[in-house]
Amino acid sequence: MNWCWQGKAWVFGDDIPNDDGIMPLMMTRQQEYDPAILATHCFEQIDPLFAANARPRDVVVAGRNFGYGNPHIQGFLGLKGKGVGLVVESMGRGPMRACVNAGVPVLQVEGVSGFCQTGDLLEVDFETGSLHNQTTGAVRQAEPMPAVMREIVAAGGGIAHMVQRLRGSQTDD
Amino acid sequence: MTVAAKAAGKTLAQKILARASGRETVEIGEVVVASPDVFELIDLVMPQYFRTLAQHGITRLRFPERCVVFADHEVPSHTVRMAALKKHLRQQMRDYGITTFYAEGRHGISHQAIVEKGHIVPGMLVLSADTHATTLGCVGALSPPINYETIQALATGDIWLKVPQTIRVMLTGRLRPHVMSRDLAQHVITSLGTRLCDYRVIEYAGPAMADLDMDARMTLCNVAVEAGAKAGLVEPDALTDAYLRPRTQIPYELLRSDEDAEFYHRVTIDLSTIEPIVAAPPRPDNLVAISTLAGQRINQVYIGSCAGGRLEDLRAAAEVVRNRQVHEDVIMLVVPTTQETYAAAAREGLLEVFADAGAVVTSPSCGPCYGNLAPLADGDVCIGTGTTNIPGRMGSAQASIYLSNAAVAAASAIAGRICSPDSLAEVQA
Repeated sequence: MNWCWQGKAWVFGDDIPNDDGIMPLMMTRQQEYDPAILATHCFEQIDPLFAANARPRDVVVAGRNFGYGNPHIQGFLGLKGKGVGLVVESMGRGPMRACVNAGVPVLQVEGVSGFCQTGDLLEVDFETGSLHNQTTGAVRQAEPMPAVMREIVAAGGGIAHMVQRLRGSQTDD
Repeated sequence: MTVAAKAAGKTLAQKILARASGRETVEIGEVVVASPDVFELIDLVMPQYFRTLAQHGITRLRFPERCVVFADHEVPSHTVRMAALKKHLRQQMRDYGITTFYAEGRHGISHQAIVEKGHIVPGMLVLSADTHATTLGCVGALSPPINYETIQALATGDIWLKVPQTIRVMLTGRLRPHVMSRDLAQHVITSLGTRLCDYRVIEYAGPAMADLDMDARMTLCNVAVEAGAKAGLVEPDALTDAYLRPRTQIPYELLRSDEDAEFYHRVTIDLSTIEPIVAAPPRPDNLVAISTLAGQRINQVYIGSCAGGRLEDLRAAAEVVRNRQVHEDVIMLVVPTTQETYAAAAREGLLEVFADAGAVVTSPSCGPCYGNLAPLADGDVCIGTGTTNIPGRMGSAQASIYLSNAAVAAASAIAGRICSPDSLAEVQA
């Protein structure tokens, strides 16, 4: 997997909740799990332009405590469906696991708020943790994504990773 | 790693994860692959989980005998869509070898019912498909919610987990009248803060635990997840033992953290300093004094959820509304957390008190706290014991949700605005 992404920044603030922030809670109530359908509802209550205009390998850049609340998977499956990556100032355990499980690459970068504005062209290397704002020239070095998480994202998400593991163990038998 | 660090005692979380990962000991911060003793599952998501497994050609679960399934999120079904979703659930479970299912009528919100039914004992590792599984720490079981990852864990029988740090909360003193475990739980998560609690275990112990019954312990561990904690734990003790003995055949010991374990942070709280408190929108840790909200009109009151529909909550609410009438502008909903609670409340005459006061009592379910029963409309204002007040949680994102203990919520139902039980007489005068 190529971990070095280039794309447009989509900047959000602090405390974007998972339910009714990243994704309408209605999608959870309806038990919708299709990433392609969920992709059309990403951030629709706070940025109606996102779902129509974000492109694969764009990067959502958010502030502190991103995706807080119940870590329902629908929000992160929606981001997976859009094909975007994620750079956040901070993110709790629940949403972090859900993010990786959905197959969305993610970096936590202290002080990333203010690093870029929506529309800037970013280069983000999830394997090394380096960020480059090609619009402003700013650079930043962060902790890379842990290997255990990259393995799951590289497989395409938790379920694909599981299938790989089970096939591997069958081969070993 | 120094010799001294290796010689240090272990936290309860370390002991549980060591056993569950087949290791002698595990160190804080390392990633282990652990196998759970129990899977706590819910009817809402299982149809989709089974479908997903089938789509990937997986026809067997690794440990079907460890699965316990509850009907809880929408009981009974309110819509054709939900009825259709669950229509094949029993057959799906049979196909995958799951035999333990508490269906409609024998149900309850999973996080409380699974403890009541004796499936959880101290020292267990439990994996759950639902967020508030931290509740199971009430008996000293480590129960980190893993939500959608449950699909993989069901197939493989294991999951990767980081051995967490533990915050040790020592409780002393006694709660004052009209102060409830919910107030204490909210106080703890707010005073510790999400930055401190994230990815860590909040472990409760201390002399005051002898006065905090299983209802209170469930609430403490339940609310921990709202601060981002990986799990809540209560140190198992004689009260745990007395609660579990008549409920379970599973052998257990009262496994605890060693006194010389490596705790990330220690804090002592004197319960007599805790006051009834309200969490205002938009987050559970946005605590404000009740006095600052005096006069805030409300039109819905909710006693229920895995955070607040237990017998202690129903008793407190009934005491307030007994011989009074719910305000004419207010809908008051009472939803006992489990069938066991519902029956106990009936035997005590509490349901009669609610009905006489003009409250609606319904079947145990997640219901209002999931926004699928009695949803709030734009501009509605609710106060209650639900798990969270994130906008949209109980219906419209343009409604406001306040969280409080059951007595404050009940007093507000009578007054039609937020008020404490103590000030109810003057408000009504």
